[in-house]
Amino acid sequence: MARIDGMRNRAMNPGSCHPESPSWVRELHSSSHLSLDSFLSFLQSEISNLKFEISQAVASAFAFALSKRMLFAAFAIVYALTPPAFAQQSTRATEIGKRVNCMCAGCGDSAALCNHPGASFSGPCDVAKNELKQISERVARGDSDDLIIQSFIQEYGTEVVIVPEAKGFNRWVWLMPIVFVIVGFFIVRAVLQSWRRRAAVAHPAGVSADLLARARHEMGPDE
Amino acid sequence: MDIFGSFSLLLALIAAVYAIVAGIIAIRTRNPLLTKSARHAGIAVCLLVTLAVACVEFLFFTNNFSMAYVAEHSNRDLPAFYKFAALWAGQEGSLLFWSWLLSIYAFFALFLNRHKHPELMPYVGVVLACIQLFFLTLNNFVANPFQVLGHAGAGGALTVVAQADGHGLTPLLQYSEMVIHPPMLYLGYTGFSVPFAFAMAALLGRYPGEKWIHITRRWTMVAWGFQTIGVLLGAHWAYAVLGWGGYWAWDPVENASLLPWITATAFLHSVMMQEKRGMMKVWNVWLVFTTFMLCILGTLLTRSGVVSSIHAFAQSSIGTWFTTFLAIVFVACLLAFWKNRDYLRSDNQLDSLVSRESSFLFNNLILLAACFAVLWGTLFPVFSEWVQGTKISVGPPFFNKVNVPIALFLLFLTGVGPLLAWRKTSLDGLKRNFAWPLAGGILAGVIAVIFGMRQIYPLICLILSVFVVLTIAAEFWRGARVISARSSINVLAAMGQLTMRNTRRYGGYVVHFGMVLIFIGIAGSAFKQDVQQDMPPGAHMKLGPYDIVSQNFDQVQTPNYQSERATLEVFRNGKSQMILYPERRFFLASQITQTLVGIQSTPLRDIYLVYDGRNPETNRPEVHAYLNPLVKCIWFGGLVVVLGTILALIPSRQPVLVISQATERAVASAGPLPQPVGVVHGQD
Repeated sequence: MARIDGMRNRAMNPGSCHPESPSWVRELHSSSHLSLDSFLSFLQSEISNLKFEISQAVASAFAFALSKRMLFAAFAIVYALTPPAFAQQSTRATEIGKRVNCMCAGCGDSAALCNHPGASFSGPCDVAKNELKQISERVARGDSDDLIIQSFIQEYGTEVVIVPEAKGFNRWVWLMPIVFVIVGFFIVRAVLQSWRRRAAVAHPAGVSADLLARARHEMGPDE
Repeated sequence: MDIFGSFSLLLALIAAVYAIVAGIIAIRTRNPLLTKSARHAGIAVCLLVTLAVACVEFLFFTNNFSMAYVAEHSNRDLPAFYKFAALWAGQEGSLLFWSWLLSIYAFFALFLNRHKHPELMPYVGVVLACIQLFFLTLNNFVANPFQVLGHAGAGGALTVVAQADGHGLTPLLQYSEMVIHPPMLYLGYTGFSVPFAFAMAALLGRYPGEKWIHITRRWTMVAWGFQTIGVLLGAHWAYAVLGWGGYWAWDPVENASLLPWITATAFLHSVMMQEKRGMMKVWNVWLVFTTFMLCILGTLLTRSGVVSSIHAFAQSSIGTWFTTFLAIVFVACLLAFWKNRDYLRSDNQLDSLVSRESSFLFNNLILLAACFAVLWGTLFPVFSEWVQGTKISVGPPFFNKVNVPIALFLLFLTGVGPLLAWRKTSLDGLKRNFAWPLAGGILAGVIAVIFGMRQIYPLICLILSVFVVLTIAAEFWRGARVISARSSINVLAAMGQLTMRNTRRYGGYVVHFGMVLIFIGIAGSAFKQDVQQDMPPGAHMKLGPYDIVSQNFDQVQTPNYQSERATLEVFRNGKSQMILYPERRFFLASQITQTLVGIQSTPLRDIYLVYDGRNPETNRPEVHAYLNPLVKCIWFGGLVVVLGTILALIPSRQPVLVISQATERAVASAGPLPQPVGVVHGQD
């Protein structure tokens, strides 16, 4: 459980996509890029509904699968548990090394994970090794994580950071997938509702299911 | 030979133009002779491109180093099968290969349907010829593989200069999967052209009924199957040869191959809605369009160097061509759709079975969300450079963070969807179907926690995987039990019969099962361990339960490369398990070093040893050892997916009615009959 708590703490970092993060919401409000107040209020109301809905889910585990709202809630919960699912235990320097790119322009991996078969030696290539050495030195000097990252940005440019921080325009890299899912969800719901409405109107005049099945059958098998 | 090849490419271009013009006139005038002529032109394109490909291969095998492409990608000592595969090692050859596979698909699409769908096929021919026209234009004028090396002599005459030997094939490509992975991926990419052509044709020709969607579904499944194989082979290649320790790095080119696969998956699901209910027609047409456009985008990303990538195949002006083509395709899709949108009106006979529809809608939503997230992350650096002028990277952590929850949700729907889909959803029925699988999943989760599994995502993945597998098993079991009770055969045989009666449904389940295996394999990567240390002969290394002892290092010399090889013995509990030989090869022609990994693969874990060469600081050989759990599940899962796809492609046998069964029995008692082929297949 302690580890899960650790994950939650990580999730509170400004760089994450945790929808409950207050700093995240505040940033959203203050942002000049966004005029998504309606979206935000929706988000907040959905989150406040969350607790209630979780208790409901426990009560009726099977209805869970049916309720579209719960599907969304489940999704939000899963989404909120920010990963390091594919991370492994290692020292602080390696952790920082995972946050910067190997700048050899060949491997597209982080400095810590680079395994590029270099000219004479594989494993971390010379560029990555150099980066890791820099990090270790700075860690030994007692620099903070952010300071180390900043020094890398100064030296190599912004592309050295493996995933951009959610600030300014770069925020959109994290936001858009969430927006996509939420908007998609509403479209799906709208479509379902319109079908249900139309079904209620169209059914009396419609062809019976049996007749349709027979017609399809007489059309013959595939191709 | 190069001139011969050049001419056949040019003739292919002309034939494609003729196929378009004649096809359009034939559609207007309904002239059957002209229709036939256009079709033959389409078939001729295939023949001509095949000739051109044969020419390139001939030039490779005759070591004709006056040809730029051959000199660039081959050398005298290159083994024969790499010479064969060098066709797709570079830009010009790859594009020719694209054209060739497309023309083969076009050939089959036109030839197999030559007596069918007379209203539809002329349109299909024209659309396919248009795509071919684009690629043949590239082959002829932009990236011609038949360029010779030479310089302009006096009076502008070209003097051909042949090199003594070629530069050789890049060592990264010298691996057996080079011969099979690119063709598979290309078969996937090009294959999606055929569904696109049929969708476009049905729309333009306002082809009545849902017939086209039946045809399209099959072609999509073929292309999807190839794409699956291609993507997984690529992953295996990265894993086994590159020594990067992983199989998926969210590289732009990898992502590009995944995108059309995802939308095609969405289409293969939503197509059922149109077939069964005549709904989501607009959606389906756009899914097919999007899949094709993503294929073109994938080729664009791979070929143009718009985004930086390990694959960095080429940095050339060809991107402009692809962008233009993509824009044209998009506008064409939009126009075709807008003009014929009334044709796509839903029939909309809806019962109250809301859950059936909604499960498909959610499946599509989630798949598209995954597709969008991958696309967005891949292209975001480009957007960022446009908008704020700064270069940024969007690396693997982004994709993992976003896609892992989406993938898990998808896994959940994989279990729920099929049961909701085919049952009249009453709460009782749901309980009956879900209770045991869900209990099984939770039980597995509890056991895993007891055994010390604490990471949340792998845990969720495990629970959902068990849940899905149990739902699938229950489906087979229920169906088989009914059949075995009715026709008194054993349950296993009944399962075979059940599958063959509805290959689509049960093939689909098999594919789902394969996907679950892949998910389990991926979740296993959370428990990866690795050690890196100097390993002079006699040194020990501890890796999980294993003890690795360095035996010795030797050198091997071949005409193509010289290599240094480590001999490492792996012990467990003091007993010798195996000897592995990770290797470093220095390729003479290209002067590049390449690692070959030593892998011992067991169902539960892979021991994965990389020989890093000599540590520059200590001058002692260094070894990087990984313990990768469950990787084999991924490859095995891929195999299951492919088998499931093949199963779903086999036409279903008509359900055996009681009367015909009686006749069968009467015949059977009269004398032994050979088993129908289908049944044998079903029991595999």
